[in-house]
Amino acid sequence: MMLQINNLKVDFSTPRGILKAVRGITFNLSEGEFLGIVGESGSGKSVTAASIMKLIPTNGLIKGEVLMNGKNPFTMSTQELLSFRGSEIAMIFQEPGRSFDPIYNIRKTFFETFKAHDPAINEDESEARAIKLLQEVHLPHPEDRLGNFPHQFSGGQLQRIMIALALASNPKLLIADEPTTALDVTIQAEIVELLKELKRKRKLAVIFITHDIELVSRLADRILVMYSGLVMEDNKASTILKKTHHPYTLGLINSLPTFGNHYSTHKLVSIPGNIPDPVLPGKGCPFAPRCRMVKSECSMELPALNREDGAYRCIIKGPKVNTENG
Amino acid sequence: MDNILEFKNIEKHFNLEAGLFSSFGRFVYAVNDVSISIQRGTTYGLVGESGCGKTTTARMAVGLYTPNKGNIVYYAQNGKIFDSGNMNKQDLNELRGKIKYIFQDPSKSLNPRMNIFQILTSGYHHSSLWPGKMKARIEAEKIMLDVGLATEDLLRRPAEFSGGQRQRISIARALIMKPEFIICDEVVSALDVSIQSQILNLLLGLREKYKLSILFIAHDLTVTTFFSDRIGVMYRGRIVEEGSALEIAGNRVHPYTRLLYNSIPSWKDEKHEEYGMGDNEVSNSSEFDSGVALKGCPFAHRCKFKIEICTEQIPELRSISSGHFSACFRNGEI
Repeated sequence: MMLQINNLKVDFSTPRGILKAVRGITFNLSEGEFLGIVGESGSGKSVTAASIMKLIPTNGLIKGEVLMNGKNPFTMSTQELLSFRGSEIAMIFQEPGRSFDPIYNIRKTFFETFKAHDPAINEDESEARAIKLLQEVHLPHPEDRLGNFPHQFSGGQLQRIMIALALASNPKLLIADEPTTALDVTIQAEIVELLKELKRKRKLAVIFITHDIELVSRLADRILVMYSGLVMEDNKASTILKKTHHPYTLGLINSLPTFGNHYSTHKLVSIPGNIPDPVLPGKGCPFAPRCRMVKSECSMELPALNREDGAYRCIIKGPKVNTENG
Repeated sequence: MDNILEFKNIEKHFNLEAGLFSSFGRFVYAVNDVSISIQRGTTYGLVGESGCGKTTTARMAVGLYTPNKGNIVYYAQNGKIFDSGNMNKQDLNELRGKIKYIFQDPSKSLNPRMNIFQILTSGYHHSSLWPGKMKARIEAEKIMLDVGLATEDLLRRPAEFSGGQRQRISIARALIMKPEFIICDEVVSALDVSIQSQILNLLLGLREKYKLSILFIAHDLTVTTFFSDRIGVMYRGRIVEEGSALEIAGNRVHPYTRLLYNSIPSWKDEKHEEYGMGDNEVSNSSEFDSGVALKGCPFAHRCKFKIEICTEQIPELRSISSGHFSACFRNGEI
């Protein structure tokens, strides 16, 4: 196993009390695996990903263990951590336009990135490596565009440059935190195609975070469904949509309209209500207040992870099917 | 036909240089010769990628921009006709009470310093329909319940709400003046899928209740075909395909509409076995220079069915079947 995460917990201290963003996550990732993490905003997806690289603000407290090829970022010194980020794990973010410094052109952005890992590098060498990386991500005419500034690129091009920067020191794992959410559907398809190609050519493992379960089921080998800082369901991507074990996963699937359905003939089934308050998560199943199949036992205690046919956290056994037309 | 809103051969250019010494030589051609008719009580979906002129078209309808060419005619319920080419300030104010605009990002379009009651009534207050604070309060409470929020929420501020709730507030703000027509500009694209379906269901219910006509703008073909009665597919400032939602869902003719369809990651459709742009349907130069006036088909540079005529002449919308139009020289061949 390349990456092992054991019982990861992340708390933030806020004026309202302890905010439990991640409440105990365990998963493994092998080399070249494509893992999708799905959930609504506020379910703890991004905090999980950021804490793998220890990118948590100072009011955050991380418990548990992360092992990336035997190295634990939580016990590293600052110096070790700086070289760990980028060379082992790299990350790309949601809005590419906001992740760039507007007064640095692309040549300088690459130079800074290379210099962080290799202080002896000179500008010519950096330029040659930058062009090679930009070719790998299929940016047209990279040699002419190194002098351009971020505002001169479109969102899709910036996301390609972000990916090239992330690959600068040959990471084994790329964490993509909603990389296509702010982009058009056509650009989304192009970026996704690129990630698939990189996975194939570089044997790159990818953690792809999104709220679109349909999109990720097309890409990932495995899907982790998160809710309220917990893993709700963990299964192979090919089975999770056909044999859904958790009502929350089913709700996510049903809230997507199917192409060709029209409002006059089909009803859109949405999950009612909102996610629970992370300061007061309650003791039962966090999804119980919004669940269609809720029973009185559901709010008594947190269901354990049931490890049959994948893993799922629900006291009702077996695959769930639609009770309403969906 | 009882149309509520008609765009007649609209064109809009933006000058790239502003100020005293601007040369007026370079333009962004945002909307080029667009004609749309929206029937009363229906939803018209406008779909396309960012930069294709959807929002510019919608903004001209509420008078935020004036078209360079063509005019926009609004037929009010009471029989009054508003023509963008012939409107004074009073008419514009009256029109803005009838057409309301809901914006994409609810966190950016609500003033964080105002409470929800102030947000709902800040426009209402300055209109001739203002009933006084007491009555407005009762109306606001009723609207809040309609959009699924509580009446106590009127005293809270935008920061206390989640993204989906803020979008509900935006909708409430649009509805409080009892408009006949609302423009939904990418109202669900910034939201989670689960919240997206809540908002779509809410809009469907409100549409029924208030007898609204809607212009629905989105880049997601699935959502648009679900929500609209009629759809216009826009590319580079032109309508390239137009038809009823069911027609577009079942039979996509224009290559650009097909590209949008291929970008949908659907798992229920067996044809989508491998998702992505595998067969290189699109070249990497998917960007276009909107600073150059159109010479040929707007989609020609990305189209794999391109023939010589495509780069020389602009294709007109031609009928495929009744009510279904496509602007392509190779209609029927490809």
